[in-house]
Amino acid sequence: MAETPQPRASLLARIQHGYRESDASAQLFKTKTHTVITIISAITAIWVLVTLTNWMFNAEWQVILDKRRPFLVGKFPADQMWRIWPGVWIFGALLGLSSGLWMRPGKNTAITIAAGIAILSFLLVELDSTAINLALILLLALAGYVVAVRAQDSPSVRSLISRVTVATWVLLIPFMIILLFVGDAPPTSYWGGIFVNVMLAAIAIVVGTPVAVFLSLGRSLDGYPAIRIASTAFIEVVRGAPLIAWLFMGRFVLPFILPSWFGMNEADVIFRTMIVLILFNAAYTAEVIRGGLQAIPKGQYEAADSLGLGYFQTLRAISLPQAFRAVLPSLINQYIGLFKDTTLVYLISVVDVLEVGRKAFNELDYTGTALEVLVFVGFIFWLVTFSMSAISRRVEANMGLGSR
Amino acid sequence: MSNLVSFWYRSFYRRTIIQGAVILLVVLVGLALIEQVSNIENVHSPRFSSSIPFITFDFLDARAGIDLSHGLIFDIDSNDSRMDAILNGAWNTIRLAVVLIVFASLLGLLIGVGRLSDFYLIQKACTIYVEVLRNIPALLQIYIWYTVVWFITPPIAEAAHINISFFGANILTDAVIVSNKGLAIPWFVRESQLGLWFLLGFIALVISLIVRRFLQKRQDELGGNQGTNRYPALIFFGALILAYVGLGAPFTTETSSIVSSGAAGAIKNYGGGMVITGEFLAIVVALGFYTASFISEIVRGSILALPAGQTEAAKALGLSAYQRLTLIILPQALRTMIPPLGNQYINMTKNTSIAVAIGFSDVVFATRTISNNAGHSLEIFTTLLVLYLLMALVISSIMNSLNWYVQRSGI
Amino acid sequence: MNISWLKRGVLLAVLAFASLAVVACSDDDDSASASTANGDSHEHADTLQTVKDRGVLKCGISGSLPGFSQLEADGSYTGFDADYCRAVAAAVFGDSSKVEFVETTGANRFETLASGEVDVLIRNTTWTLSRDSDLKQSFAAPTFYDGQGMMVKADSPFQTLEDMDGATICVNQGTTTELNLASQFLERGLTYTALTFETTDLLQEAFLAGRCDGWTTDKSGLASRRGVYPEGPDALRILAVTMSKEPLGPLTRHGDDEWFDIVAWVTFGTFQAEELGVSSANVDAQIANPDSVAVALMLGVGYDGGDVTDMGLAVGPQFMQAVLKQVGNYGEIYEKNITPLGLEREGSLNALWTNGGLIYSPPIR
Ligand SMILES: N[C@@H](CCC(=O)N[C@@H](CS)C(=O)NCC(=O)O)C(=O)O
Repeated sequence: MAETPQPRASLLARIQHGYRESDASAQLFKTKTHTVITIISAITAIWVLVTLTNWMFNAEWQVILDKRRPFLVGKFPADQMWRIWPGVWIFGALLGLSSGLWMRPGKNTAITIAAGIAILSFLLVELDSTAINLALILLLALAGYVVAVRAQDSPSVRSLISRVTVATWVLLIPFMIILLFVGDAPPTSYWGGIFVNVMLAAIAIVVGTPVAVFLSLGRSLDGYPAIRIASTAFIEVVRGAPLIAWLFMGRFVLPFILPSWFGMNEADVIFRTMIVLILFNAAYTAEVIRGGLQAIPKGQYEAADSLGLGYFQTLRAISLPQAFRAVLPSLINQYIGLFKDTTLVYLISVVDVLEVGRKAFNELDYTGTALEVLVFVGFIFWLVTFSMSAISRRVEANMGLGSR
Repeated sequence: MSNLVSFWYRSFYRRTIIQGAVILLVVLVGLALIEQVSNIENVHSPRFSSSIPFITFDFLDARAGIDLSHGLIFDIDSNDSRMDAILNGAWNTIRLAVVLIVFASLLGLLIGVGRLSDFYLIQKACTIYVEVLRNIPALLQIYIWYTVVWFITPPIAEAAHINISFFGANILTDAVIVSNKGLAIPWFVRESQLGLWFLLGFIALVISLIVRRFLQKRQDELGGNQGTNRYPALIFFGALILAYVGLGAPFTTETSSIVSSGAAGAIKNYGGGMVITGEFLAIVVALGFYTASFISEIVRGSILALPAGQTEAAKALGLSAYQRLTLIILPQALRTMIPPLGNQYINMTKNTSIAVAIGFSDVVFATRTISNNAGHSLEIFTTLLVLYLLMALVISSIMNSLNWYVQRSGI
Repeated sequence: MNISWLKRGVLLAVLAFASLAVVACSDDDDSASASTANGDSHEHADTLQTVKDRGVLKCGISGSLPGFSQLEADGSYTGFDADYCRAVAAAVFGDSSKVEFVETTGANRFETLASGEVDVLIRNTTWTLSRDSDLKQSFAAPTFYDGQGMMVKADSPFQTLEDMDGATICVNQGTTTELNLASQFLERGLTYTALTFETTDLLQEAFLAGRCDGWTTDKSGLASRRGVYPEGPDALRILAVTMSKEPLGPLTRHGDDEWFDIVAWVTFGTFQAEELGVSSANVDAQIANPDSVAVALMLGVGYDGGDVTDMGLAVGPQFMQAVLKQVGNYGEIYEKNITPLGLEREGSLNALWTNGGLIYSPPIR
């Protein structure tokens, strides 16, 4: 469901006085009830904070430090890291550029993300190539941001930079794929860690979204019942079963039902997983996009018709841009959900970051560090997904969605 | 050329050709897949290549040979059929889903309202809750709770017995027993007259409904209060009281206790009551907390979408804040809430499959075990798909009728 | 909801009809397709060629069972099963290092093999009728005769299964041990609760937490996991009872006899070599100057200046040379991997048949 922009007001405040949310802090001690509740909740909050800090400083974080390579890339050989880092550098620079170009700056967001990265580097205190590379990414992002903000003054430079940025975004995944497979590359069974989660999600998004567009168009196509039924059937059947079931299907059943020239038998698990995730993501994303298509007033189509635009022209110029704009928040939510779902691939023996963690705390040397590992991995996920949703909020704000 | 173009643009032909092509493609792909599967099966059993259809569900009738744990109502054993084992798994999924739907909805409602609270710290706490929990994968949260459950529960030999007492007087001994073999709570034991009770209750219900209808008609004609609710209720509950006097209780409650078995009584289990296993608890807490963060957003959105005038009017009527929330705001918000809630419930039901990660024997777990013993992955997968589709169908029809009811009655 | 239940119902019905129609159609031309279907059109038909083209053998192992297959810190795998993977690679490529190990669990190993992800499964897997017929796998030869055991905490009073009435037992999903557990307790009239886990790591977590009273699997598996138990091996005790027969060995998919023969005869070759006294230490000398005709036949060399006999195995007559040089004979593999677990070979079923055991190779000739 598409989130509509909401006036931020507190419920009871609205009921009673029409206060705005930010005013709530002004009434911490307004009445007796307020005072009591404030004190009770403050004590609880302090207790929770103390307990957490206490735990944090007494926890055994050594396992995180020892296992930081597997957490990052799994078994991927150290001398092959040149296949991964360039893509990540470019990603950092792009993030900076894009935020400078299209995002309305938000102080809290930036602070939270920076604090997160600071904590991360605290846990990875040892200075090695990993730490240096992480620092490099931050630096590139910052540089990109500065360049983009500077460019705002001159429209021609800005449009050039934004063109380059968009093009690089589009080419990033193909570029990474080429780097990962060119020459004497390590087999995908060596992929692991957070790298696998990110790669799987990214590919499912980049390849799955165009598929989703076709599916959603197919499902809302008037006058073509066959296409409509086929698209609907695909979407509903895929959405009918949980991802776990489809992952098993992809690994164990797909190779049987696809002809051998499809190469599924020789294809490794990562490839099979990718196919499943692409189709799975496509079915869900199709429904999101369809919501956007339905939100477009009929009059717009009639106008396009009278301008003499054909079906595909109308799509490109009118319906798709509007649909994407309207459903951006839900779309990002879908992508975030997909990213979180990539943890399920452990079930078909892909060693993602969570599985690296589980293997680590099951080692004899690290017995009893389950909570540390799980909290660390949870923190990584939180950082990425929270940043994604924060970014989408800032982009929305910049597109003026909130002020329509 | 222009002829061709205009032919193409005569939409009838275009539609026919394009759709014909699509149908052909689908059929061809379908045939190719079937051909493929049948080839493989043929190779495996050459003697039956052309006489036996390659898809068969007969193997599901065979003895399962395994015992599935976590069963509550139909605890199957190894002598039951494979289909029974799968259905038992499905039943576990349904049970999990129902408990989760109730738990997550209540928690989500609380958090959603809390986020709009007047109290700054509560509001902030709820916001942090949502922003943290919905951004962490559900699987990870299950692992965390699983670890925590083992960490905080004592071994069963040292189980914690919680009694309910009132000013020193014990009302219920062993109300809750907590240990690493789960949480035991009192539960109902059916008495022999339960069937009769149901029959009586049903008859009383029908009669009171008929009476209510009759009274309603009278009220419409005559006006005034004809006791349309009072008398039927009197009839219904009167009948129940009579039944209780005549038949005794339909069921009694039974608290759980710890029973010993094995050498030197070293094995301890719960006897009686209802036992909620640690796995079940971890999943309910983890998935419940996780889903509640999404439900709270739905609740919040629906409340914020209400026109402010409603609450102003209620205030003018002199309703208290609590009354305004329960009488005015929530019933109205419910209307916009139901469709997205239905989607959440379906998602959550599918999400329960993550429970296989900690060995909970849900439907996915059961099908995995069966296909590992019997092969036939394709047939078993189809069964799984159909079971999940059925569950989604049931949830969406319940939510649709709820929606229909709410929109119509306009509470 | 995006689609009403009515629409869903119609959709389902349409789907059902469509698939029915398709199935019905395909029945008609079944006789036509049957002729092409039999035999050679099978996808996995030429495993040997596939392996050779790939340049590496994909071998399914457990990976978390010290002594059988265990991932080491340097990324390599050690163990009895891992060594048999190497033996097959040595026979195919003449190079025992050309193996890619694929970790599998008890619950996904057969699908992993059937779907072509691995070429051979060597993962302490028990040979049973249903795995042969239902799961369509071919077992080469048992390399380890085992039985199911029960492990309990050392300080618990249990000595027999009867002592464990009402117990909660931890077991691996999809194993024979899960099935035996059910039948053993059923036959003895004992109640129990099974807690089933897909991985041993998870099982051990539950056991450590005191969730189960007993832990059951193959006795070799119990011994292996006991050795790496976080609270030390002395915290655990394995009961004397043997609950089943568990002949463990390598297996391949149905439908590729040529490949099956290779795996089977590499396995038998290691038995035969031990029986004939050929080991990695003396194999070079034996190649140069074989002791007997049997040794010459096994190593694919001529006896006393005679010609080489090629018995037609697809990897050539000399396949055992690399196996013995790089991996060793059965005794060596056992000594290196299983003996450290404390499982005596002397007097067990795993002794050579000449010593009263069951390790016996059909003649290589
Ligand atoms: N031999 C039995 C049992 C095999 C089995 O499950 N082995 C266990 C322990 S012996 C195992 O490999 N566990 C390792 C894991 O799954 O992670 C069978 O073939 O079903």
